[in-house]
Order: sequence, then C-alpha cells, then structure tokens
Amino acid sequence: MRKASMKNRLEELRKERGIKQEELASAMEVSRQTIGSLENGRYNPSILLAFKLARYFGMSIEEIFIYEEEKHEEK
Amino acid sequence: MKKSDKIMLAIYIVIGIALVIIGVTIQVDYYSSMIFAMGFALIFSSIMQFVRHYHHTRPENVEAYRKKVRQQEINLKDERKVQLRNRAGYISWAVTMVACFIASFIAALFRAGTLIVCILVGVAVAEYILATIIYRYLCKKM
Repeated sequence: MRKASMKNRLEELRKERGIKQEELASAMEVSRQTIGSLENGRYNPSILLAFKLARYFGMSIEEIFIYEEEKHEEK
Repeated sequence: MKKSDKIMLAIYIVIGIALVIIGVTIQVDYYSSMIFAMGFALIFSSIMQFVRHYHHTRPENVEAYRKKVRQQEINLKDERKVQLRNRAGYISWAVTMVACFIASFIAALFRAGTLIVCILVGVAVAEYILATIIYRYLCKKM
C-alpha cells in the first residue's frame, strides 16, 4: 500500500519575494488562514488554487508542490 | 444597500406593525401573544438593519465596511473554509440523527407519548432519507 503526501515550497517562495501572508491571500482571494494551513502542510489546495499560486509565482505546479509516495510493506 | 432591499425592509416593518396591531386587538389565548411577538421581532430586526446600514455608510466608516465586506466575500468562497463548513455540517447532521434516535428511546422509556416518539424517529429517518436522495442527485449532476 502506498501512502501519498504533498509538500510545498510556498513559505520559502513567499519569503524570498518579501510577500506577507495577507498579501498573498488577497491576491489568491482566499483567507490568510488558508495560506497558513497550506504553508504548514495541514491543507492541500484544489487544482484551481494550485494553478493560481503557480501562475502568481511564475512557476509550474510541480516546482511548488512536491508529490511524495511512501511504500509500506504489508505484513 | 440596494433600493429593492430598502423596499423589502419597509415592507417587513409594515407587516410587523400589522402583526402587532392584530396581536393587540385580537384576544385569542396564547396566539395573540405569539402574533404580537412575531410582529415586534420583525419590526425590531428591520429597524436594526436600517440602523446598521446608515452606520456603515457614514463617510468615516465606509472604508472599514468595504474591507469587512471584502473579507466576508473571501471567507464565503474560501475553499478551505467551504470544506470545513461541509465537514461541520456532516458531523452535526450525524450527531443530530443519533441524538434523535436516543431521544426517541428515552421518550419511549418514560412513556412521553406516542406523538413525540414518532416525531423524533420520523425526524431521524427523514434526515437519513433526505441525505441519501440529495447525495444521489448530486452524484448524477457531477
């Protein structure tokens, strides 16, 4: 069985550009808490929000969101 | 506030006044007080909306109100909050259904009357059936 998870570079990219969470949230038309949850990895965005974020940072989705699969051996 | 909203509030106030007058003039035990209370609540809530509107449209409050409305719009559409609201709705639906079954059992245990027990069981069953119908409808649509 494979356990899937997703990491992202949102916090790193945002800080690199000197953008506040509030500013990013306003540009994405989401709440500041959503940006916080995304950065902490507690929430995975919809594909639409992922596209909007990617376009905002001028990158591809794969460059921001890293999909990982862990393989667990079943006993 | 749109002109149509103002007209609606004015209509509510008129209806409220009519209900208050009916409540005061018609002396039917229990129902006259109920009609009076309904009319009073309608008048009070409509007046409060008018007051709120004029408070927000004052020049010194306009900017703060604009920000507040924008934040409310964002919160309404925010996908994480939508997801959380849906989850909260599902949990409260499940809890209500179980609570209705438990309450009907307790009511039956204490011989509270057939009508009460039937209503409680009916509400729980209706909740389940309605949820299933809506789920199937949404599945077909998506």
